[in-house]
Amino acid sequence: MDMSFSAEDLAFREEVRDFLEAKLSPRLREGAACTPSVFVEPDITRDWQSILNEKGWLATMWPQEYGGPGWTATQKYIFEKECAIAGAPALPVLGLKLVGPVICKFGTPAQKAHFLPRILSGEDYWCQGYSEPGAGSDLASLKTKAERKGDKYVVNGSKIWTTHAHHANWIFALVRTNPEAKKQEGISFLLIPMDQPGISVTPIVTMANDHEVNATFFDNAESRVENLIGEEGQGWTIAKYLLENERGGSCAAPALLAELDRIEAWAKEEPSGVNGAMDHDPILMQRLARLRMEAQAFEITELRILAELAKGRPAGPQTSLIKLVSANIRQSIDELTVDLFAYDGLQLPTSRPLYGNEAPEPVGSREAQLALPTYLNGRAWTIFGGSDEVQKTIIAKQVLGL
Amino acid sequence: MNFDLDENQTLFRDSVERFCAPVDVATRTKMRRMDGGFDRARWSELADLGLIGIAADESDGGLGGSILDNSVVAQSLGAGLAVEPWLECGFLPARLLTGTSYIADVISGECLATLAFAERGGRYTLDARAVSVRNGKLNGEKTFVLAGGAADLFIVSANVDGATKLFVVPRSAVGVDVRPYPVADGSLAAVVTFRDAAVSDPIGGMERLQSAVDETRIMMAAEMVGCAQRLFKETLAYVKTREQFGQPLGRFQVIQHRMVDIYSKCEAIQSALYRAVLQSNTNAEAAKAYIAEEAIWVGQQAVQLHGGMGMTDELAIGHGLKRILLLSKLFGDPASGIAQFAKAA
Repeated sequence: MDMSFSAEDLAFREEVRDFLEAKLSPRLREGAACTPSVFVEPDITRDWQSILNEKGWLATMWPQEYGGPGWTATQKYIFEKECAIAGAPALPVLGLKLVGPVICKFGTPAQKAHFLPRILSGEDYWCQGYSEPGAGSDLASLKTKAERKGDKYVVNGSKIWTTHAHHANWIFALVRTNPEAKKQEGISFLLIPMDQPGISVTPIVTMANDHEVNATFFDNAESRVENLIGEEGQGWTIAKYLLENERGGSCAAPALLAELDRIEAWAKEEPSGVNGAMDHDPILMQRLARLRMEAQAFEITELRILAELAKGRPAGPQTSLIKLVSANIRQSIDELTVDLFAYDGLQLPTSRPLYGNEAPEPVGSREAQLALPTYLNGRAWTIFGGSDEVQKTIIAKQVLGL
Repeated sequence: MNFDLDENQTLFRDSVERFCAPVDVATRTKMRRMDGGFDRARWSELADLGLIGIAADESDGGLGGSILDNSVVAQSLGAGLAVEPWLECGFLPARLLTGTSYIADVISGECLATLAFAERGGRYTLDARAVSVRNGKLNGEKTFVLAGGAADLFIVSANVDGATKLFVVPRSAVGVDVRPYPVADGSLAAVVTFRDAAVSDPIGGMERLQSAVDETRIMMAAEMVGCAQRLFKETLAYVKTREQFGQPLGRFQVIQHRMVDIYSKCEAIQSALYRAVLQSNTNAEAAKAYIAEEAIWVGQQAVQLHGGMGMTDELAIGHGLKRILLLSKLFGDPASGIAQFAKAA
């Protein structure tokens, strides 16, 4: 047993570090650090995306023939880890990490040739149409229907929690093409252009005052038949592939550990009100230490998965725990941050963005201003992409055989 | 032994319920966008109902309500998710300003008074340090002045030769600068800066401040209990009606057990509140800390069980959690409150 990286991997790490050091501008770092929502706004990600695209390091999840960098699982992990430590902005995952790999795997040559380069260049910005008002945890009960009429699908219904639909020009959606078939079997995976009169987008503001998600309505919206991915009725299989693709190795712990380091640094600056700073407050420091143990253990869990993948073996069953564990550590970190900043941690700015010249002046520090919006938005970590309750039910059944 | 509300307390509760009933979440959001963060006409209405006067002594022209009477009002306002700063600008000033000439206008609702106590770097301490009075001039900066965006009158804690004293300063006074900023519950707090603002004699010192803060801690606990019970009730109704996988969420055992846990916490904090109210020599800070910790958990669970909808500002759920979060930290957070209790024991 051995937890270290090979000399080659360490050399690659240096290359990544040098690149990040040179290319992450103060504006990009600030944009990433001062985003309390889960997704970073396109005004920041656009620039970072084009820098990475130029280097050929953008579509890390794609096969090399479509523009992926051809990295090993270990290299992907190292890249993600270094990005997290350096504070790089999160990329728009919907195109790059969700629909992109799906098109690589299930798309026709024409679909690949058309869509993939446009994802890389940023010309297309994608959103996801999965959940519906009546279909959340029970996604397969979705009702939005697409009826084939000549060379088009006509789409009617509504999607909810469509992240960045207000920025997107394309949506990949699960739609019901066969109302007669059994629940999962009547579902198809359809790409739909957003810029048309049949689609309207209504903002949903979170309790943190962020506009990140929307309700998206389809009223005789149209999409050409060549925008169907795979076959009619194959949508559920594709959606499952997309989720499994997400499980092809993860790198969540380094960002959590970096966040704990930041909290420790802030605690040195934050007055305790009695004598000295909060880094001498036994309660806060105990919570910090406890979370560090959790995050460090979690880091090794991720590395155990990585080791399997690096050997070409399938990821082990512990992959099913990744989302659950990381979401809960993250929420505990957010709570600790809010508690660290005492009254300053209770400010909740109503305007956005919280970076650049338009940002409202913070009371105390910028970090304190971000604490509560981040905490409130972060309550969604245990809800989206399969709530904790749904995740545990799946793990109980599929992993534990209960 | 009797835990029933008496006739007057029932009247107060009903009166608050009627006051809160017409305000739905959308109206609440609109009120938050008003100048100062709430509707002053509704504040006058609250005063006319005697619900500010209840906090003031009879000798001050108030109704002289007991701590229990007042906690019934606070809990009902919590359950109603009222935006009006009853606790910050009603109860607390009524306790601080007793025996002064300012109290009549506070009771009538004409004057909105608030306590300016927090200082940068002071964390949760009540001691005034950076803000001081010398030669009748007040100088320094206060932060987290609740309802500071709307207040007409500041009750300012200030250091006088090493001791904390309370001074009264009108917002309109020369040398008073108010910079409002939004806080967790959507209200407008403020950073207030004093530059040679003229003050007359102090209205009291640490003893008055400490005793008013302790009484207010009970009211904060009561309001959090009300909020938590409201969130419990809404969540229970939601899991009974929201269907997924062909049945109401409440049919799933994981949801049933969670709801029982929430119910159990709600009952526990109601009991803790009664104990704090009815027991003499109660440790208000510890009671408030314990109730805060459980109420936060209830609020978080209410969000979780509402799923994505719980994340939005369109339901009462998030509004309740945010008010709980604010109250949980005012005059000390759960950790500091429980640590203080351990030290005192």
